[in-house]
Amino acid sequence: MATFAQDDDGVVVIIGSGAGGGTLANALAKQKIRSVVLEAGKRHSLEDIENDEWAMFKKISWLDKRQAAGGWHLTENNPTLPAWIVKGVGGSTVHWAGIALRFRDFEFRMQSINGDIAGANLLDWPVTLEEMAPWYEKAEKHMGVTGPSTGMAYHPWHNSFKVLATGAKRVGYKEILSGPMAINTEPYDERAACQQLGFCMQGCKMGAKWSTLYTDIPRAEASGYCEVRPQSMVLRIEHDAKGRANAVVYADASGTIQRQKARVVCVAGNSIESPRLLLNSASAMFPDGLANSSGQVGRNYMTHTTAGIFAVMPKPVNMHRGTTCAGVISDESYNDPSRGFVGGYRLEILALGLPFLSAFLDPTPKGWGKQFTSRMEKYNHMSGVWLCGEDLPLENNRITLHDSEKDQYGLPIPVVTKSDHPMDAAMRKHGVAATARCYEAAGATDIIELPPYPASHNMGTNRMSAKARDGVVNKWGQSHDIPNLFVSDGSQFTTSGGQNPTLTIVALALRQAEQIGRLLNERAI
Amino acid sequence: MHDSARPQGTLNRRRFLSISGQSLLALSLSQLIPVNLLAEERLPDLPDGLLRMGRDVFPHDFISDRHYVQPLLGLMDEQPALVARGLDDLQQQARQAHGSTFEQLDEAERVALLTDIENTPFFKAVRSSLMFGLYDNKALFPLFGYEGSSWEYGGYVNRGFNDLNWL
Repeated sequence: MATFAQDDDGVVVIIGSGAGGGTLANALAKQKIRSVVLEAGKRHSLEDIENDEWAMFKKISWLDKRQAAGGWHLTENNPTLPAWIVKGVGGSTVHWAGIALRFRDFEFRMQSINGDIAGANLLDWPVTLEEMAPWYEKAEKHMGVTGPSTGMAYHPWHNSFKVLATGAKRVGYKEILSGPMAINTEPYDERAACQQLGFCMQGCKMGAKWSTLYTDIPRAEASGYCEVRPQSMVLRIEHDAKGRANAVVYADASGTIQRQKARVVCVAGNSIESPRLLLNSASAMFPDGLANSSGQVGRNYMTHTTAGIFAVMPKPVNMHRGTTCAGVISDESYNDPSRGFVGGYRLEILALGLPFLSAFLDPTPKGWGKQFTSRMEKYNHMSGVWLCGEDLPLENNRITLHDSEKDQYGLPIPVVTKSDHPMDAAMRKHGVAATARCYEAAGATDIIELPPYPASHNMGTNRMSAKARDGVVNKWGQSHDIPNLFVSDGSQFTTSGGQNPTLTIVALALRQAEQIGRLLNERAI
Repeated sequence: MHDSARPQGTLNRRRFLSISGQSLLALSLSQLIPVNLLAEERLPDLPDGLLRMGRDVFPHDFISDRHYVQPLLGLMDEQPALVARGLDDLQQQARQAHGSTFEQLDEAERVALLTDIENTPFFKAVRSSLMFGLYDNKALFPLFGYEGSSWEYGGYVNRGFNDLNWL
């Protein structure tokens, strides 16, 4: 494994090692481009992964203090943990469902298709599906996504999806598929086939689910072109007199402040930490934070429009057995404004274990007593869905810096403010009703709506735009203001789409790596 | 085959419970949970009303007192002042409203008093400690039909992940 000197100013410094950063590091290494990956969290191995919901939560989650604000229920019910993401090597490719969906064509062009939506800050992506299609295919092959790109079969239907799919058919839905999933159904890319462990979400014990933790990261390191430094929390990005990024300051495992010089800096810390870092890097030349001439850094925070819906069925389902999220109903995933909202949503099967069900069944102060326990006693009769729908960008849904409270590094904690647009609320209501109809058609005796979980899909806070005044980065994820500063994670999403974000993050990272290689060759950065 | 050990049986067990004594309960559950959990050991004392409150917060007839007592003891250890003060207030409310101690009230009266305090740090702490104590308790998983960690058994690929046939 290579190591690079702190004063080596020829390296690309990548902040974060998840879907964006981890993929990017490996793709750069393949071009023989040297990188240093600074990862805030520890490095875990497959041996550390347990089939235990709370044990994994405590082991891998980003638990540094954050503050929820705004109209969403998390302000009340999860005030210090608005987002549920990972602090560790592999980032949120350790904690993710494995659902690997492409954006649809319209989802890159929400503004031109729907016009301006009052109260929303809608904008087209500067990228089209046509341009992304080959990158999606590369990403699918890279990650091992079931379906046409790899030829891997979709997952066999487990009990919970049988229930949902039966109901969906009865109400007339047609697009019913147990994928695409970045979870192997046969050995692929030196990783095993899924054995239906049922603990996919917070780390696949057998490595059947794609994660940079045991693919891109070790391969990048083995190439000799990448050094990964875990437990390295980046505090700020520095720049030279010309306004070019030239170094990254971080706290190492012992808390000692280090400074790594850089030729290029790529920010991939997920959609709360990435804008927070740019804001915390404000300087005399950039008083509002780096890359923020548009004022859009931290704004347009999106999480997907979501809800949990659990149905109690007349007989046992045993949803905990099998691939947690292998089941998607897609008939509602198109742009049909006659429903009272723009954009679409998918119904995604989602199982919870008993410990997490108790925590999320009713997180409000009312979540106790006989109604609560009588539902818990029906645990093994339950089937559940997670709604994943377009979440409109709102300028005031945003990440800001707390004006007094500091974290263990002395940095202001992030305040995560989010409220629904009326169309988000309308979509949630529509999706909950659609799910209820499916389950009722399959014989459900009770339907329970859960408020959204702490957000694992976080997007939009450094968004792409064609024009510098509208967003933070261009179509390559390159800062409009600082040419050698890139954003490589989901924060560059212009709109959320109604699709789980990981596949698009990976496709963008592969594409960005090629562009960085091109720009380095041209000595443009 | 799998159904015999799952809460479909819960209703049956509960009806069974109501007409039978502790020894029969032990018999009916003995295949589900380790025998040592059923041993009738003397439970450590909790302050008056706390166990009753815990059982009202998450009432499960088929879970024995000791599984409520353990997390509540842990809570008292961690936050003694919060529990003492909160319980004191609750008992005072009970006496003011009904002239009796909390644990002597009937269920509807107790639930009404608890609803009044459901937003307090005391109630939230009791609820949270029991949420972990009851639902993140591997000894109790089988009573809910939850089978827990699976990788050491090769997952569910050969253990019923798609055995549902009643649709």
